[in-house]
Amino acid sequence: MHDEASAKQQLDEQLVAYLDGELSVEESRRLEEQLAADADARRRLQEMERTWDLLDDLDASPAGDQFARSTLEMVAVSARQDVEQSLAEAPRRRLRRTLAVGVAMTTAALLGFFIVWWLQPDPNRNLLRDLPILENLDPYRQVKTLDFLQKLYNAKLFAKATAADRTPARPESRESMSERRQRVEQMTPAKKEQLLRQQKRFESLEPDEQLQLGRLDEALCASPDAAALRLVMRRYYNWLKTLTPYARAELTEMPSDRRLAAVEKRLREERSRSMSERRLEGKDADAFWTWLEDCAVRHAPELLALLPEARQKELAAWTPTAQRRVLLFELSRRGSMSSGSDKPPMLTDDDLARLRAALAPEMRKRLASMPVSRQWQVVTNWIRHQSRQRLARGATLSAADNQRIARFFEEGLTDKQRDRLLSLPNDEMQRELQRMYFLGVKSSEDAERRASGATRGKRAAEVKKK
Amino acid sequence: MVVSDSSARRYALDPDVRLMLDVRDGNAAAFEELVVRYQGRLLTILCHLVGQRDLAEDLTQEVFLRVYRSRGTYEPGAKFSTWLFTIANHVAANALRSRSRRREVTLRTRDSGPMGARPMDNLLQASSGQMPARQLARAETRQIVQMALESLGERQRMAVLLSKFEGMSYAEIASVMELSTQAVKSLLSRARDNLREVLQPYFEHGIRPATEVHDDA
Repeated sequence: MHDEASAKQQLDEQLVAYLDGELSVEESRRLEEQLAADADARRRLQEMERTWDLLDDLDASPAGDQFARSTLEMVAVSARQDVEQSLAEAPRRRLRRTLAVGVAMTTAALLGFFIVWWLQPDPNRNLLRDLPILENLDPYRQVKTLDFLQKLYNAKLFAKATAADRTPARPESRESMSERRQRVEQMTPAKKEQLLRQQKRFESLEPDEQLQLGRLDEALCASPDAAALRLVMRRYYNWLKTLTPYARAELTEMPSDRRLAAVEKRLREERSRSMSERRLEGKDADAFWTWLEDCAVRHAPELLALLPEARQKELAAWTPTAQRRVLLFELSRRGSMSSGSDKPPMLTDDDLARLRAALAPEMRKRLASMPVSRQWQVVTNWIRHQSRQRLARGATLSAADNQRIARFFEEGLTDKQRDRLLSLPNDEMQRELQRMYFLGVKSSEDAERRASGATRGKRAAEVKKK
Repeated sequence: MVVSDSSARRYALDPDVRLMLDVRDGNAAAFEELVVRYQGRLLTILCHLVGQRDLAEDLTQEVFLRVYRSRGTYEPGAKFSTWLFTIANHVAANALRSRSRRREVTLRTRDSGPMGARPMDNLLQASSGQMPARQLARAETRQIVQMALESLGERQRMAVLLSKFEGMSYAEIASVMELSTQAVKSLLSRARDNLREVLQPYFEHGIRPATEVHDDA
């Protein structure tokens, strides 16, 4: 009996090991021979296999982020208790004290990570927590509430794709803390630096505004239309950047309903100006800029004559690049100042013909189809847009010129002027600074006053009409 | 040092050994990574082993705490998962021992067996009124299988779970459970024979298994 049971047990072991792939080639071969001759053994094998397969129905037990967090907190707390205990016991173990302190220090160092990471607010943790806000700080501050963004989206005001859509979007789905950490770790030093600056800006905001931005981010993440809303937000923000600081500030201050109406009105006006406001893109934009620079050189004597005498003398000592830049500023200033069908006075119809020749066929045809006065209107607007975009870029200036501009910023401005510059977005600040530098502070501020004065005048006129 | 070279190569293939070495060197982010990678696997095994989700969660955390505490002495002498499940095996065995001691004192009158198995009749009665037939069949199968698993002794159950869920070889299971490979072979064979005995009548003739608990030995 005992032998029989033992033989059965041995056969079972071989069958199970066979199913589990744990038999050698030789053992498998021998068992297969036995199976071929023994129907009972075959049935037993099948039953074993079938019941084993039934275990596939058992559930796995998934554990989520929350569980991981609670595990790490538990480990951190318990590790801290260990350290405290070993420190408390240290005096009683004089001989091993040095060792204990050493161990405690190692533990404390590692523990530091957990405590910092999971239990206490620290700058890095805040940075990661606020990362989605920091990366969208300016757009968020302009949009303010999901309600407004949703209204923009529903009104389909920014439904059209723009060139800026192609800029790689930041992750739009929810990232875990460890994913955020990984992404930040992989950033270039410049990017990290920028992030830290954003964090300082964010932390200097009123607590109410911080809360508001946090709520916006949360609501945006939770929205089923998150991706589309973010796209609208980016387009809206890029559009805002094309407005004057005054107009932008005015919009931002409005409650969301009025703001939406104002945005709609502005967009309508822009559209009605259609061609004249049409942005130049790609090769046409480059060709236009080359043409404008060429005009500045061609009309150098007339442009110089427009400058005060003292400024003319100063300029004589400057580098050719800087001289060209002054002329360009002066030219675009004349372009920006002229209104309606006025053109910058020194430009001629020959200049216009050269521009047409430089444009791509489609744009050339479109421009040529208009009366000349209308063409100048379009070109004047192009001058305004293109110079706003291009003059900010200091890269075309020599290092020496850039240094002079930096010194001018430190020494040539009043505190008030500097504050005003610093409150502008970076590219606008660069443009303003260069304008002040190249055109002289006074004429530049006059232009600014004229610009905002004109807006205020227009608003006053609108109010009167009502 | 041929052996050490070849094992060194093996460890280089297991990225989790690398992570654990990072934990040993004080990299807490590596620890977090290990927690995220293994918590579900541990929880699954421990849930089926102890039959209670909340206890299994506590045990899973206990395992990670032990991993963290022994980081300083960690030597890459095994695959990381083997080392981890060795710890889990100890933690679970302790918990089951103390639970069965508590049960003897407080729950002596309850007829649910030392592994906390629930009477199958209750389970089926509770579910049958609420579910459509196919779902019921599926849920019922799962419950019967769970019952069959719970009817195994704790060591057989552990061996079965490591084999089924972790796909471990006999040698790996032997290392985790600190047994010889031959002992694992017999353990698994007996476990599978027990499962067969419990499940076969039910699936062939609809006879529900009794909730008796098999011995490991």
